[in-house]
Amino acid sequence: MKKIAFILTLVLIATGCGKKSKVKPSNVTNSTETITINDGDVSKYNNSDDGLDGSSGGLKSIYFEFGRYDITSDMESRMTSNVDIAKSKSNIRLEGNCDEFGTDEYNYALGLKRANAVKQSLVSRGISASNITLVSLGESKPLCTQPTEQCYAKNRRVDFH
Amino acid sequence: MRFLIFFLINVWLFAEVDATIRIEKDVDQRSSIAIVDESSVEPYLASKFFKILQDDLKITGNFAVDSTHYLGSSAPSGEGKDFIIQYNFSNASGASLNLKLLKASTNEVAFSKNYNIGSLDKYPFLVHQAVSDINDKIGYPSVNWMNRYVVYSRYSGSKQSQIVLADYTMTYQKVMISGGLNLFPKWGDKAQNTLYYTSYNADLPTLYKLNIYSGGKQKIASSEGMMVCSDVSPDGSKILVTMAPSGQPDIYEIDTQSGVKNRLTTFSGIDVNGKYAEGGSSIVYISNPLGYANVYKKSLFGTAVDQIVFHGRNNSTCDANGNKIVYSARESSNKYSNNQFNIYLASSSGGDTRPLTTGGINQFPRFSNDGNIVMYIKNSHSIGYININKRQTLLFPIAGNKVQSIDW
Repeated sequence: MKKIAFILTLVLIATGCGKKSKVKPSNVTNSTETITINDGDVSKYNNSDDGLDGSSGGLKSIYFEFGRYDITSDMESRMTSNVDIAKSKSNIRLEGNCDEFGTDEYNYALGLKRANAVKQSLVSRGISASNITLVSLGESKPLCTQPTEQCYAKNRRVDFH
Repeated sequence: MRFLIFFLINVWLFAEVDATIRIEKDVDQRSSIAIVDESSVEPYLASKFFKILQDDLKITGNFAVDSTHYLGSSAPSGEGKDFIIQYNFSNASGASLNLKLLKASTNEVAFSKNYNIGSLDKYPFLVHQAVSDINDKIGYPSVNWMNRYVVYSRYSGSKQSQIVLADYTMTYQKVMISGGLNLFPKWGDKAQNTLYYTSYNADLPTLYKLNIYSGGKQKIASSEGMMVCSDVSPDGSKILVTMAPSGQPDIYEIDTQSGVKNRLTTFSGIDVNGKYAEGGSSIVYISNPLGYANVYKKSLFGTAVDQIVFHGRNNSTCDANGNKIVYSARESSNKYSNNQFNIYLASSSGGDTRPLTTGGINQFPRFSNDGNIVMYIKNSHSIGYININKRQTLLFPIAGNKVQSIDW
């Protein structure tokens, strides 16, 4: 009981000491004016798009674990197959992709790290680094939009073009 | 003797628990206010206008708002009220608003103003400006943040997106850039005349600066892999970008006049989301040296890096304002379902952490320009606002596809 009374006393003292004055209507004086808000003309811009979708030219996409950018051993046969084709190409574009669970910048960086991991693997197998360009498309180019684990896994990939 | 007894009581009282007492006062400092609508527009528009006015007043945290939509013929009694707003909203030529603030006890006009805007679609900005003015007139801290544009990007298909201009309630929305993949809009100046965005429609991701009024577009930089403008210095002279000229995502500072680039991070993993903090003397950013995304800080005048968040399974986005940071933390380890993401407020030194949300998927936290309001996206399809000093919150639906990035 003493404990409760003491706490109540502390609360009452603190509340009383901290009381602030409220703004009174009588402190507010009259004013009248007219303003016009700038109604700027916001322009619209259009850009073209080439509509790429998945790997092309017989190359195979490489898939990744959730949140990871290291190439797993089960992707080795795909990498080997891709190297054979890539040796005959003068320019290879690697597009890193992610599932929808990241947020803005980090997801694009994750896609880029995946693309870069594939690039390093290609270079280690004899492909010239100067023939490879990278881009991350984050979660902007999903191959599958169903809310299933299999579907999300399809979107964590690097496409070859 | 009295001192000894007092000392012993305190030792006994606080021995069992961490000695932190927080005293929450229940003294309402808000002004009570009623709203009288004297407009003659169609009921649907009148109702939307009233709702925005009511929400604007609430989110300031400075007004206890009577929820009744009083019409001109049924004005409320002044009893128990501090102020009454009388307004007439017209859509005859664009949108116009005549608004009066009356002292409830005397019916004396304390403030009156006429507002005009050329486009009816932009009528929410009339309301925001009026509430901001009323707030200033009464003497409360500024809420000018509500007059600002929100700009965001949303996906509209595979490798397709739009950049959209909106008011903070998302009532006004205008597609500003469409066609192809254009992402990461970021205001380029305090007056919101320009914005940075990244176009993915050429061989390399390219950062542009666009004047939204003249349409003038300037190429700033391009980079293999990715290119994002993450933050703009207060005077607009420098920007923080994430780019990857050699396939490695790092944070760079670009002088917007000279174009000189200065690499700020060198970690071999992921460094993104750089934000100026502590008066521009340091940056906070997202990195993954421990294998998952988390919030770190680095001085712009040294090399030391400090981890400043020590909880959460994946903290992949943050914002900074002065000595405050906000970030989104994944609270559970599920890969996909049943994950919760909450927004936390903390000091840029890592202390004083407190949650701002307590459930659902809350991401993309962004401070208002004055640092008093935090905007965020809830469950992908709503935009929320938290007044961090007044503990007021508001949620508005976002029609359309998933938000990719947002700024205001």
